[in-house]
Amino acid sequence: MYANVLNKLLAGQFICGIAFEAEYELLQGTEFRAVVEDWLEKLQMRLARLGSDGAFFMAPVQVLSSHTKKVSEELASFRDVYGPSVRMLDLIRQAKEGFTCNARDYIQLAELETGLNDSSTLETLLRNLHGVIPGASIKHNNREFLKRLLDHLKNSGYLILVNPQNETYQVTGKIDQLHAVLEFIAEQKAVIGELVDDKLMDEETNDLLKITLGAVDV
Amino acid sequence: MSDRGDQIQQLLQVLSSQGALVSEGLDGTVYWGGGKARDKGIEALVSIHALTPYEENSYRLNPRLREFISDHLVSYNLLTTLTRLSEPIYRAKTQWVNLKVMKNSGILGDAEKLEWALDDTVTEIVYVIDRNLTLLDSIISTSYGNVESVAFKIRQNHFYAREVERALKELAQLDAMIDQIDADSLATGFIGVRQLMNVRLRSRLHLWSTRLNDIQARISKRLFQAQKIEKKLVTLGKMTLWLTQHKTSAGILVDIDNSFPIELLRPDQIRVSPQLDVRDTDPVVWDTLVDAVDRMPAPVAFAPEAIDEKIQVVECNGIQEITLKSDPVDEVIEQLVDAIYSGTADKVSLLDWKQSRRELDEVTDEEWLLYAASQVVSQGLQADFQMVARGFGVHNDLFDDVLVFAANE
Repeated sequence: MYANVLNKLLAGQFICGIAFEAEYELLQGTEFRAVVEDWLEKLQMRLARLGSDGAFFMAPVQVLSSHTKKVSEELASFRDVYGPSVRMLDLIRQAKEGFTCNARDYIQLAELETGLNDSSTLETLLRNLHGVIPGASIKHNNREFLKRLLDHLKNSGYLILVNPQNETYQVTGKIDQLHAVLEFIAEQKAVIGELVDDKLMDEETNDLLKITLGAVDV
Repeated sequence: MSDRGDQIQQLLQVLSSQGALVSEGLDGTVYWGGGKARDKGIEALVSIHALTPYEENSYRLNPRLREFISDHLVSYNLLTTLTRLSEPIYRAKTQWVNLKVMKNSGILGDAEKLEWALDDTVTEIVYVIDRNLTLLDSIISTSYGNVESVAFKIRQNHFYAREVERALKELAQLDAMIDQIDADSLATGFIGVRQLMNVRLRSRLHLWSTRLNDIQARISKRLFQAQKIEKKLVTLGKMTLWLTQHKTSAGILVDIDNSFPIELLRPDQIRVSPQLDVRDTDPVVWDTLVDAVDRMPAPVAFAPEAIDEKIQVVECNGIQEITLKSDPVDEVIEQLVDAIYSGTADKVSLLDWKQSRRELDEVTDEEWLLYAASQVVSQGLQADFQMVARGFGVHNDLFDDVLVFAANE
């Protein structure tokens, strides 16, 4: 089992209780974790965790300038790196009642489709993603579009397919990494100024935000 | 059996025989007109006030009965309030004051009845607190399972946070009341009342407040988590809005140092190629190695080469000379150089030399002059370029012939 866990960590994967249940349970054990930590240390790496009880992942023992540069670059190209997933998850949030965008949330394709068919605004938002969702074309119907959207999120590691028969997906613990990035951006004062300019927060923007935020009581 | 006993039996029989309708009433409205037997059942339930008229041809379950059954089933409506303790506390205080007055006035018969009533009030207080705690436990442990939307779960959480706060205040009132009655009853000799207060209420007060505090802590934690979830969703929505409004922005420029949260650094893949250590004598590794070797193709057998013991002799057949066919241009240049060096020619015009050679007819004068001039110079001769006057607007030097002669001239 060490090999399984180490291979997944070295492959850059996030080991959570949803996507890799057995490996996650093993890493919860102090002794097992110590062995993995020792092994990673030889590569100048360590075992890190998303939050206090989130997914495990591999991180450098010491943060170097190259790591800082990498994070800066990823934020600088946020639209390409995180943008597609952010837009897709936000669409799901609007189309699915009760979606908290947290690990363990379930998403059923049929339910999402119903939510989408009930709203022309959401349908337009989905259609606008045709350049973002790999393999999606405006010729596809809503269901095909959504299927590709969910598959993209699955390939990105944010979802797993738990029931192929009724096409039900489940959100994995990797989602916390995305939330951490978004929270970090929101905490940056300079960026908040750029993000939500007070002068722009007039009625028009508020309305837009309400549409985008949908069911959330802002 | 007494009359009252008969009445209770009849009441319970009606409820028992019409259990399906009662159950229907618990879930919603009961409608008239579903068949003769059903309508008769509704009539029977209406007659004992178990069902109360709601709208035309529709009935609802008596709220008291609903509450009783809900408590039994631990199934509650949305935002079911906790039962208030203020009213029974007020009643108990009033009963206690009147009990003292009656005893002092010598009305002992009524005082005894009032003591029983006070006992009932205390029993009601205990029941109400237990019921409230059961309700809160049920609601919290099912994560507000009676609603689906997150927004409403958050509202319920806020609502019960306030309810618990109020319940704790009521417990404080109850504590004050117990203290007061305890002190008074000791002074006035109501030992039974004192015992009632201490055994039935005070002994459980600590447990009740501990449970309420625990529920309050759980609600606060949930509220925090819910707010966190809400915050995450708002941030997600805002980022999407930002992406929509800033179509030309590729990303966000942030000055970060080495202290950034490690969650931001997505792990890079480290490629691993598994290799077997051939020196490893572990049985698993050894067997795998043997198995791998078995699956390899059989080695090609080479016959040992016979060693020739004879003395080695090198046979030389001579080297065949390959004569390269030289270019006619080079031959003409060679002839020219030979002619000058041998003295048969003195100062030779390259153009004249070419014109006397038929084999160079296909070579243009320009090509000839440029190539031959450089060749003869490289072989030690001197070349004198015959310049011509430049025309207007021409910047390069022009020549129309080259005279070639020996270097010492």
